[in-house]
Amino acid sequence: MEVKISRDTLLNGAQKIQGMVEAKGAMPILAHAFLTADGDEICIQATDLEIGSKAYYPASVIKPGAVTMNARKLFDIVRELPNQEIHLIKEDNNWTTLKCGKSKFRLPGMPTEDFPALPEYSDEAIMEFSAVTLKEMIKKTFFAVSPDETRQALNGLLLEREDSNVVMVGTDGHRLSMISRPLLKAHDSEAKQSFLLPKKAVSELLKQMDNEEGTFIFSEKSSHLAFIHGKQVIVSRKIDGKFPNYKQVIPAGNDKIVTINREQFQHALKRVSLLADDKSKMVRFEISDGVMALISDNTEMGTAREELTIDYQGESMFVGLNARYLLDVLGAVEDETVTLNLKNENHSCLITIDEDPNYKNIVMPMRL
Amino acid sequence: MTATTERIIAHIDMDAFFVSVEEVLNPSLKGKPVVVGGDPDGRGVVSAASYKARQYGIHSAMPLAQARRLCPNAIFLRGSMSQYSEFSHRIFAILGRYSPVVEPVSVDEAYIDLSGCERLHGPTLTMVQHIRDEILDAVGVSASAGIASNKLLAKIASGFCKPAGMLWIVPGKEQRFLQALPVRRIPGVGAQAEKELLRIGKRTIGEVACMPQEKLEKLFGKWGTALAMKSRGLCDRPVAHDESDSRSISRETTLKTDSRDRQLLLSLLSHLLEKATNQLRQSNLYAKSITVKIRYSDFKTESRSKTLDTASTDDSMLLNIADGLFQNALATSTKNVRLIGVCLSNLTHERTRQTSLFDSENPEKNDQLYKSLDRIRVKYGFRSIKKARSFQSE
Repeated sequence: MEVKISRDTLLNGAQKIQGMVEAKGAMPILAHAFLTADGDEICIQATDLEIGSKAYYPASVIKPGAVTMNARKLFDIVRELPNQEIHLIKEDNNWTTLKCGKSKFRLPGMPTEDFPALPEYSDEAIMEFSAVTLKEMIKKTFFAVSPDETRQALNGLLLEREDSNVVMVGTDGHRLSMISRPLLKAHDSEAKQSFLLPKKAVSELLKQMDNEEGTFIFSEKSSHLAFIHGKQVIVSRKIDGKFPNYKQVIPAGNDKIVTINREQFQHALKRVSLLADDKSKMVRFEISDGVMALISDNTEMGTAREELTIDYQGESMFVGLNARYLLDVLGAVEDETVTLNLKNENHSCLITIDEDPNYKNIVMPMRL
Repeated sequence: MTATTERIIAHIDMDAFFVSVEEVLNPSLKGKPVVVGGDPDGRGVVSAASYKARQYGIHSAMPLAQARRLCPNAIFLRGSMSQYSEFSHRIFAILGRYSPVVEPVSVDEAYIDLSGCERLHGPTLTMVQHIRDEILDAVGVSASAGIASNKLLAKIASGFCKPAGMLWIVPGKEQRFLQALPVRRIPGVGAQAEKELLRIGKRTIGEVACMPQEKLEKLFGKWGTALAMKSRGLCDRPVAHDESDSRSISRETTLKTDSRDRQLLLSLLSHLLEKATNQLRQSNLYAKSITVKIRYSDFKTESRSKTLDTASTDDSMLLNIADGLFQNALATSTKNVRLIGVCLSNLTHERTRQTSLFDSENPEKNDQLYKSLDRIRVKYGFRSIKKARSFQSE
């Protein structure tokens, strides 16, 4: 194999696989990137056997062929190189020479036939998204996904198609984020379809979405899911497990409606939560006609109190909420106001956006 | 803490406490070699030995089998923790009458800050003598007392004058007192550190005090800094009488025979945790951190900790976490397990609880359940009701 490729293109390609390769695992080849050159492009593949990706980049191929090399080292080297053309040449014993300007590197590789093939995936679209919509949906729900790897069903995002809409739901058992958007094109099936996307696959997918152009096709084949964007593919194993019934926990009777300027709320809450307990991050919300006080009175760390003007008429009430959960939501939206829909201090708080009725967040209260 | 006026700290330490209690309950034991610690044919260790038994070379923490070899005629008692804590409560009640600032170290040991109490109870020595007399008269056990201007010196002093003694290190004479003492007298200096100090030719506390702090730090790391302070008789820790936060609740047990039987170990863990959480609830406290400790047959000790999102007293939830930590620690060695323990720390009086979206179980119901369990235990004893899982540990 022998190719010439621009440094920026190779850097971009090498960067995108950094989250996928295994630095140290039982299989050394999983730390490698698999490069194949053919036609007028090179293909870069990486996998950790749970998820894998494949992407194509323009290059001038002098001699077709394939190599593997340590993905981390490739990235580190290319990052430090000047923006000039990079020349890759495969040598004997799977070594690769990388030349750029006056620099020259020689990297060891492994037999290309040992590189695990990507799982088979289907090209047949179950759903089709515009890149902008898919990115928005992930960004507005992904933060709620549980970091706890032992709770497999909560360790991923739910992707559910119903008619021509798609719903994405993330939850960690204490809060839940759900967003619904119309699909570009749906696979013409009447039945509702649900899929669980592993957390890692979603975070890798987010990294691929640097420009918000084009469309993403979502497909399924036996135990694997795939997101296809032009010639780029991310394939992932499906998560087993039953996602909890999220519709059941959407509160219906929350009649205490508090509307707040989002930006003011975000800043005030950030300040007050500085003195909240590090683990629980609890802030007390005292709500009365036109005013909401955010209070943190953790005795060890000191106390903080800030008042906000709100749109609310009704009985006074209070509720304890995890500030981090709210800040995640406030950081994900850009709308001018947000609305807290409350019932009492023991019931869940529904956060809605007036301009976007299809985006909902539910946060469970904390009890003293 | 900057002490403008000299503090008066006493370290009150009962003499062979468990044995003394047994002697009060059964005066015929007096003057005989008595060992408290359980079945001498089992694998436990000596919890306490009478001074007569100590003449045979028996000391606490020694395996019981070895104690029996040293003194076959000794009277071995299983001991009753509930009796001891009852006596302990009475002793602490006495201490509380002399000063509000009492820091319990264990059931039979406490620091008491008597600064400024002279006008109420008389001069230092008279005051401490009264405390000792009152403990002997009212409870029947003898106490030793070390008095000094800080906790460290008070502790060294009480160790020096045991049993049934009292020693006051007069302010200004600290260095003179410490100088000739062997290094082993410094609390925290065990066999290992002593060996290391002897290796570099330091036999007395005075010799260690002369060493530059940097040299001690180079030898012992962070602990060297503490050692430098200690050897100079310096200690500014206040007598901590506030029972929350600083305290922890621990339970540990030595297995009858070393084992790696998962069922048995889990059962023991469950049993220890049930005991610890029971005490936690009795003190109206909630734990935010949990530590699991394992000692292997080769005496290597591993521990694993986790801090929870919200403070809790729920044994079932804690057991799940403890089991995870335990499996984690167990993976570090292939040896059999000799001892396991749990420690609940970071205790607080209040807690905030994050409620859950999907768990239908009502947390208040859970609290009610534990309240009822604890009531049964108060009436019929701890063993009257326990988890089926803890049963195998019996």
